[in-house]
Amino acid sequence: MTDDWIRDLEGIVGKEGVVRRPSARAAYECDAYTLERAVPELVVLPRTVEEASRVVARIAAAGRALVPRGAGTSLAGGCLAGEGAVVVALTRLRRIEELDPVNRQALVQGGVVNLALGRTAHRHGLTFAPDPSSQQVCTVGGNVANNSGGPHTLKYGVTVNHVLAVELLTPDGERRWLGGRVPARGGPDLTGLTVGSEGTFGLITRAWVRLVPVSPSVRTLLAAFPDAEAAGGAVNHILAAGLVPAAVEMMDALILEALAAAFGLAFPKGTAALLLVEVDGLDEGLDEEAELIAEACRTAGAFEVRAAHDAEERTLLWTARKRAFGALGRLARNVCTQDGVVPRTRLPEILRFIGEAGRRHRIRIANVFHAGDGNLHPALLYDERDEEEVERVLAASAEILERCLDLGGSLTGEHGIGVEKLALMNRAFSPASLEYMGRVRRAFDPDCRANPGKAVPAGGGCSDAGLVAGAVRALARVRGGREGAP
Amino acid sequence: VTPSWVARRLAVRDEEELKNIVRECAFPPYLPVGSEAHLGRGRPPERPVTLLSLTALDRIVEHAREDFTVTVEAGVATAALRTRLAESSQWIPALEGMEGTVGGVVACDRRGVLAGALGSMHDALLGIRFVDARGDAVQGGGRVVKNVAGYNLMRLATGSLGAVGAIVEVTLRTRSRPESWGAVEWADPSDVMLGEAVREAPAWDPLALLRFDLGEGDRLLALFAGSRTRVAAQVERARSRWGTTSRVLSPEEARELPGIFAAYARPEHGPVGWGGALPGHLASRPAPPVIAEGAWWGDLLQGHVGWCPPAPPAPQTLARLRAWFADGQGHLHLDVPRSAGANPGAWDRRREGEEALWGRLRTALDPDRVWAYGRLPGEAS
Repeated sequence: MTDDWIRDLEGIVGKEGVVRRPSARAAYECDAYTLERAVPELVVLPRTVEEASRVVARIAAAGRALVPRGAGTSLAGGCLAGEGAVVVALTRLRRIEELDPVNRQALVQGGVVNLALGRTAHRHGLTFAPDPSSQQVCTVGGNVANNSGGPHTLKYGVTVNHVLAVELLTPDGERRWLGGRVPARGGPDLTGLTVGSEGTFGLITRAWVRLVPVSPSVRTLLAAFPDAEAAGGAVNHILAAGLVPAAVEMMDALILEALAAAFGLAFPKGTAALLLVEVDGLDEGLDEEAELIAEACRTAGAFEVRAAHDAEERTLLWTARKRAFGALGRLARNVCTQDGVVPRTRLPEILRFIGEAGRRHRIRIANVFHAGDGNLHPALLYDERDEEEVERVLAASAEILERCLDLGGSLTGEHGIGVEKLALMNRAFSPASLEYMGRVRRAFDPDCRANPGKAVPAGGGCSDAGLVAGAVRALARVRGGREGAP
Repeated sequence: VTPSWVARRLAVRDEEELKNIVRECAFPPYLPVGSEAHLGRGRPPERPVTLLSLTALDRIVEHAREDFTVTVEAGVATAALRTRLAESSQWIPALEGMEGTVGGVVACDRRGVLAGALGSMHDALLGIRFVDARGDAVQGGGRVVKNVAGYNLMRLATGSLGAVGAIVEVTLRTRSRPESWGAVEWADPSDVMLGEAVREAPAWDPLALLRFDLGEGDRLLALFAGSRTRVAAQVERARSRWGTTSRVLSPEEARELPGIFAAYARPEHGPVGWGGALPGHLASRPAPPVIAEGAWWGDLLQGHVGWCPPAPPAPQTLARLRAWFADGQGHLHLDVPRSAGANPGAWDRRREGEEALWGRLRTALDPDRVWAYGRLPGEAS
């Protein structure tokens, strides 16, 4: 490729900012969803917001589609590039431009790493509440694009609850601020609409985010159960008691096996499911809340409940929880993580179904998830070299997500639709609703060049040019090419 | 009192009839309404409208108590929903003290004093169904507490004043009612004290941190709710922070506060100003004298402001106030009683790009202006 437009891009970001070598581009062939891969034709890494704007304008002039990318930790193929599409990675936009401790706000560039923002805010007694498990590497821009969550969203909310304003780089390279440092009340909330749009409106180059005070005290409890259904019941008992813990996480025996091997942690013998529950706030009253939670767990069948011994153990437990999916690498070559949601009271039912689906398709499935939100993360273990096993993984995944919908839930609680779940959107939304979303998208991106083939089925006038060839094979193929498969 | 820009009224029996009315489009443009309390929000529409009353859509469809969600039709009265939830010791903080219908609170993006800590309606909204300009039912979100499938149409509809369509059903997140309430109030807080409150008090986990004047002088107030033990500790911490000049409110008084402030913010009898500025700005400067003439409150957690001027402000007054708010990165809007023919203070400045984008969205979603046009920023009449 020696086209003028590529030379122009090199002129904007420097030669080192344009990735052309096939071996280097291969690093961008997928994100954390590895069932689909496509090496992008070109990757561009702007160093400044101004460069990003010029890059996007040049890509538009060349008639190419663009794929925004942060750290590439999407679990739904959200930054998979289709044929001819250019990946614009914002990982070099990593400046925290302003931190205002009095008003508890920060202005950050899209490539700032989530944990880096949290650590900087900590110096002022503040933190950024969304804490995805990938927070050591994932970017704030990616969090905004996907409306990311994390274990502590039960009390603190997801990304949209912490974003005040975004600088949206539209697909034609124009920079537009949406929202402001003080929440507006004039008309629809276009900032909130943009959060979670999965890059289909453009790129998030900067954002004003809200910071929250670090809790002065915390109590972390571990409750061991003889089966997952009892643990699911305990979650309902806790919340029915009127408590709002900061986090209620569940891990099953397979995850505990991986964590024990990876971190040297010891869990009570016979634990089929473990709840990790945390309450925080002023010290006064926390012991009382912790005791109520312990009682709720015992009532539901926990055979052991104890508090984390000290801050060191708490840190280790959370480190283990957040690296749980990495630890699964000890048990299988590949992992496919799903993200369905069910009403909390249906947790026992869906956990039973996941177990049955695993047995039916001969797939080992580990569960580690945000039980307080009803947000499941069944991790299906497989070996990608075994085509037949891959098919069984896809079939089990589709069944689990469809079951979530049948139980009144959702396809995704925090990972997004990406390419992975696009084929199921017709199952979740009516044609009129999807058509409406298509019109919303085209108001931002009339030519559908921003992250085509993601989030919302194209429809009505969008060809989704640049869609990954053969992408969305996953659920679409399993479902026999039923309606909705692009 | 009917605004002069209302041509006629139709009472809608159910969703199917609503769809048919929109499809047949005999008397456009339409404006969906509930209690009509906030017809004075925004600018008058560009053309006389047909009001579509949705108060007959008044079913509480499902209260999933253990899942802490409730699905209601848009015409459900907020008071009825509060009563129903209270039977299960639950509440929706964003509805506290609000009158009218649930759909109206969503469409008008009404906010109370608890919004700073517990969020406003768009934070409580889990799902929404509305009838669009084609007469189709459009669904966003769902009935679970965490959901990122599809675009966040809840954010699009909240505050839209009916511009995206008629909201027919919403699913809301509920919470357990607090076991106990408490509040501490300080009279005539100094600048230093206000500054310290903005910096320190958020860590006490208050439900609200307010600076206000309801006619009795400048006040600072911290409101708490939760378990008895925790509230007692919060109150004690707040009370002891700045010596003995504080007044500790009874739990009953504290519980009434959200409703009291919400009652001030009703535009039936006079204009109501809305807006905000950075909390540090609200705390570090004395309130402008003009604001001090009427009842007002400012939320020091996120910067929301409500203001009830004794009379419609003169243009110069409004301009001066807006400059003060702009200095704090904020803005000031004005609601007027529905009897008012115009609203010269409807919208403060907004980012130009954002207004242009809303204009494009509005055209894409409703090219024939089936729904009343001209009320929002970005809708040039």
